[in-house]
Amino acid sequence: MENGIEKKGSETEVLWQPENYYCPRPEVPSAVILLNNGISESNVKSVLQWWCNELLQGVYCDRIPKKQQPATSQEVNISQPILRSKPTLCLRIPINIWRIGASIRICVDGATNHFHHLMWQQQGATACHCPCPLPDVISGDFDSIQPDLLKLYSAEGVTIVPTPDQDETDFTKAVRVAAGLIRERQTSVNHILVVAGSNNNRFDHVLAIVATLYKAYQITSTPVVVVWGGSLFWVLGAGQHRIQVPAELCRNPSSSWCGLVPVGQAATATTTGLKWNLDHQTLAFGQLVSTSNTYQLPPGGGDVTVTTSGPLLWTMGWMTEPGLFKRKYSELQNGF
Amino acid sequence: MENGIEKKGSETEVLWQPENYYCPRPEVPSAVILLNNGISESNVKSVLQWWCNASIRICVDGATNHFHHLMWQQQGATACHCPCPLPDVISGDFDSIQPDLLKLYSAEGVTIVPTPDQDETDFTKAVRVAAGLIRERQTSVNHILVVAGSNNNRFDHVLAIVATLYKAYQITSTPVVVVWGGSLFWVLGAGQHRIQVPAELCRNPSSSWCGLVPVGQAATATTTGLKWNLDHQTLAFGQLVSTSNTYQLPPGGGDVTVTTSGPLLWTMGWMTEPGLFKRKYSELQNGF
Repeated sequence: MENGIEKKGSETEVLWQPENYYCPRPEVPSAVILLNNGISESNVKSVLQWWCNELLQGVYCDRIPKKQQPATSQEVNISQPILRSKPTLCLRIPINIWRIGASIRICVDGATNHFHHLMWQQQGATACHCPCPLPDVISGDFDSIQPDLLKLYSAEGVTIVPTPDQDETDFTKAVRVAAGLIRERQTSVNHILVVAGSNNNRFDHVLAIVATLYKAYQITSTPVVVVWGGSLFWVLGAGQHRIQVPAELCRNPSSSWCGLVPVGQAATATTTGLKWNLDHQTLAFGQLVSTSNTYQLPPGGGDVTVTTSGPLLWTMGWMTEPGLFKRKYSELQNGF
Repeated sequence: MENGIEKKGSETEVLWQPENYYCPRPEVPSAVILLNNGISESNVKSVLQWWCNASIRICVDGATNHFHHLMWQQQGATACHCPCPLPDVISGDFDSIQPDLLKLYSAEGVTIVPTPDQDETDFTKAVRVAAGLIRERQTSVNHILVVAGSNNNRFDHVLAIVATLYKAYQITSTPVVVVWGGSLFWVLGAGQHRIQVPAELCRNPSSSWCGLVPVGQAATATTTGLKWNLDHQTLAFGQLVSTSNTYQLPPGGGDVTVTTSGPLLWTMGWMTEPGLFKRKYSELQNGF
């Protein structure tokens, strides 16, 4: 497992590889949760890449309606669109790259609307060139999803999980659903990627997302990573952490920033690899909070290490330009 | 003073009147700080109202660029119809302000306060500048309103804004209130608080939401006036955090009360429609 716990001597260090979050690879199985207002015109290409990553593992076969299942298992004609009227690409994927791997896709409530209009209906118009897979689950209290879409996807076999409990947010409940699917399928998932909207008017929603990350530690051992506009963030638990920062992030000022924020409680931390490192210093609101930090790493990229006495929110920039995905995707295609 | 400390029996209660923040009145003196990327096409009319009404005006670094292009150069094109006042101070480490604008405003008599210290954010340093001006002028200011941008890519900046609010308690006794898109937020210190919620906020779902968030540390709180009230309950990340809450108040508006053992971030919606200001502004004009 690439993102997991490695024992170094008598201490346990958690390894984080953010490149796996924003630049998906089939060898790194992930779950994706789309939050309400997470998808927009500006990020739909990236979201489609994260959402489709599992396609290359061949799990898409599950999503073809029963009447269109292939006669043999040697080739799959993934040509029949389920919910649209114009014809789509016909892809034949060789059996040797099929895997029965983790592929978990969850739409939360109103995210289904944007999924339908921006992703499902735009198939073929994106760099991905893959038919957009349906979600495994649509969950939430359903106060923002278009009712006809709920009916439509339900008829297509998408599992609908109502989560009306008002004591938890839709996001927290979606993490529970994802954790349940991971257990049920007995599959290993590197991380759960959460696509959240960064252009909004609700400050309580922003803080609620962070609150869910802190709760997620009690719900699942799979790391939960949020992508919010040009930002990534996740919680580092008490202990030692190593974050591999690729060279491309260090080179661009819009992605070379980072921060360590003691959101829920104070913590004492020591770091390496940052421009402003901490040396057994206390981070706390009202005292020291590390924001607008940056990396001090070799030109080829390197590791930031963080040792902390308690949970800390780590946040960093990532590369959002479409060119990145085109290049990586064509590398993958050439490998077939 | 309308927003201040009122003694109730042997306890001290802090009164908050959010209508004073988003709907400025000349009787309520305020300071305004414009943060980088705080002004945009979508909120410039509101910002101009706040700016024109304020008695202390500070532009932080790159906010000067937007101030110049969206506010100063658009005079007469907004509902305000007032000549847009210059800032009292432009502060910051000046890594984003257009250098020619810095020269221009300096020549116009605006006080330039470089704050190169990299141990504090431009916003924290601007709060110090505002506090200094308040002391220097021996003036009473109801609140410091901070205009922050809500459409951004930098999550560290969002959290840094909250961090500054916590620090502000040590810097000034004047309340510091942030407006962030359709949200208002500020810190409630340990003790008792009363927040006056006007009817208009309760009636509209886009503004009738609110939250209490234990940023920085856990706190035990009791509330009234909310749909989901707290009764000596502990708020903490990883446990209970109050978001997407709303009001349970009389039709004419009313008070939310919060008693807390430690600092809590309070956040709520406000009315962003231009019609509100037109109506209120014409009331003011008729009163002149």
